[in-house]
Amino acid sequence: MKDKHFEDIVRKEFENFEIQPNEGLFDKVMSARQGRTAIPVAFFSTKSIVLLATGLFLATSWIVIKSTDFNNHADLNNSIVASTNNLEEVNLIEDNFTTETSESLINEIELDVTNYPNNNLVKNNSLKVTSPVKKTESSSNVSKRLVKTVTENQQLNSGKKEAITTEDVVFVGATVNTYPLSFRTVDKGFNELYTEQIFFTHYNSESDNVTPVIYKKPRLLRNYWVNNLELGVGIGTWNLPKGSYAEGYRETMPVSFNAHARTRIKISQNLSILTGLAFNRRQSVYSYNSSESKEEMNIDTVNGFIIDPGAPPIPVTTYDTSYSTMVNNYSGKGRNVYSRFSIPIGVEYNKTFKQNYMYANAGVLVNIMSYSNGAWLSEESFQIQNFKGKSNQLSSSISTGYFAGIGYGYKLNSRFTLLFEGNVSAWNISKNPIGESSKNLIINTGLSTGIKWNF
Amino acid sequence: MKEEDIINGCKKEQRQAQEALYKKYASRMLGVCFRYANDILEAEDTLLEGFVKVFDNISSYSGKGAFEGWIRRIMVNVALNKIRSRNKNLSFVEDFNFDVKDIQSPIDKIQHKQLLEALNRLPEGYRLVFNLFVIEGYSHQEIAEQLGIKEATSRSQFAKSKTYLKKIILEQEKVNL
Repeated sequence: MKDKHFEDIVRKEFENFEIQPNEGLFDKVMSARQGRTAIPVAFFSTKSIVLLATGLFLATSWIVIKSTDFNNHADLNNSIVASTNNLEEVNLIEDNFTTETSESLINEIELDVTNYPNNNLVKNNSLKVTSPVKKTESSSNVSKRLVKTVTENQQLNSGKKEAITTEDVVFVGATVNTYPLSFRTVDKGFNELYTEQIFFTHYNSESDNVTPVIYKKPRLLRNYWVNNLELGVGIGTWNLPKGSYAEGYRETMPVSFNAHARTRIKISQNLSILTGLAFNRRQSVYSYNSSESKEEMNIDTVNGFIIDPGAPPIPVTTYDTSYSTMVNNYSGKGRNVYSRFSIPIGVEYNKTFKQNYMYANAGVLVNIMSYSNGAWLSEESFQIQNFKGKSNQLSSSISTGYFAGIGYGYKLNSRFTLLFEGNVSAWNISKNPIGESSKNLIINTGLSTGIKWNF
Repeated sequence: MKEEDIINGCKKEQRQAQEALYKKYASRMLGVCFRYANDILEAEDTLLEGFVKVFDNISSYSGKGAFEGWIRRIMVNVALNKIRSRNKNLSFVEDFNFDVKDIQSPIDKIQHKQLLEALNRLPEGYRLVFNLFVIEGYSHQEIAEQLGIKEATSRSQFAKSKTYLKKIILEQEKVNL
């Protein structure tokens, strides 16, 4: 059997295939619509609809993008200002919109309307507003109102809830049907753009023709090069230095506090260079209980007489030497503190999941300043010695280490993201607090949280 | 009532016109929806949602192109959206254990009941591609865009779906004999 024949048979069988729907389905359709459009727009006069529309618009707390002229890409520099009640009229004709009127585009936009994730948003805020505009038979160049509602594409924008509305389009003539849409894209990972698509019919009163028109114009929403700052804090712990602790010296597991300010320089959609400033302060409590023994010589003096018959007694002193051990006990308690400032330089990879994203980063830490204060057991004398300052066994002027982290970014809104991160950093110290002379790798394991601001 | 009057009436939100439009297309569109649904209830649900969109968006219908085609596309889109939301990771079966050489018997006549049964037995991915290509007349490129798959996947799924469908039909015929 020829495949084409089979396809034809199937196609023919389904050509006029019908199933009678249940009675009452039409009423359900109507009530489904009624639920959303409680007040029939047609009952209102143009003026009252305009008032209602204005009221609706002012009542919404959507962010309004103040349109700015972007004739070329070089001008795309965060020029769009977001505010809540700020409108700027855009004259489509003069604003260099590209115009397309092909049938395929009309179909495309019709499909997009039905598929659009925020369709309800668009409908609720544009159709009601635009519907009152009536066909006029007056001369051309009669300025009418058309509403443009631009909403974000949730998939592309990871669920940022901001919506952009404005009401500014001028058209000539007649009946208005609008399907204002916006498609947001990220241009090579650096510029977040949205494309306004404004669809309406253009009525020419002379020829009595209605021409569907789509206006398209890309606009910059956000620049991604360096547009973010993250501030965060966290807690963690260090491993205790390896090696044998001297008897009597104890140190509790160090607790660390960290804070950081970081920024990400985007180099592609998913990859960024990460840098900033990090602070880490480690604190532990030490105690020692040591003893020092000393042998002491004791000399007992005995006085006596030598008695010789016939002679007077002669006094004499004898010495009896004995030895005993004396033990000196001493103990103390204090706090070991180590602080460092460092510059992390690394790369970060992020992967978006629905609204939020996961990320992983790694790189080197350049420790630019450290300070320590505490006590350790001296390796020479095995005596407790204090240390304090910028240059000692723990502190050094500059050193390097490594860091790595994995985290989750929860988007609070279009500007702020809450970050949760597990991280680890490591670096070498030349000596540890108990006097081991070998190098030790100190590892700090921590949890951080931060807030990232996209400006 | 002429179609043009019905459309204009719907644009003016006239209930009479809306009812007329519904009566004219409902049963045919339910036939369309049914091919994408698991059962008649789901198909009716799709139809309901589709007509809501039709009435909501009818003012955008420019008058160019067949009106039925416009409605049909909306119905298909609603059906596809439903499938996507029901089954977020739409699976496309790569391999079925049947021998293509076995299926050489001619199929000259099928009834749509038989076809529907056979279609319903197809894995969802096969069914979608087959429906969209053969009955709706979408190109593989369009199918790929709609379903978020590669064009080559659409082609291979279609070839497999056709073979599998024939096998099911022939099996049905054997049972009926």
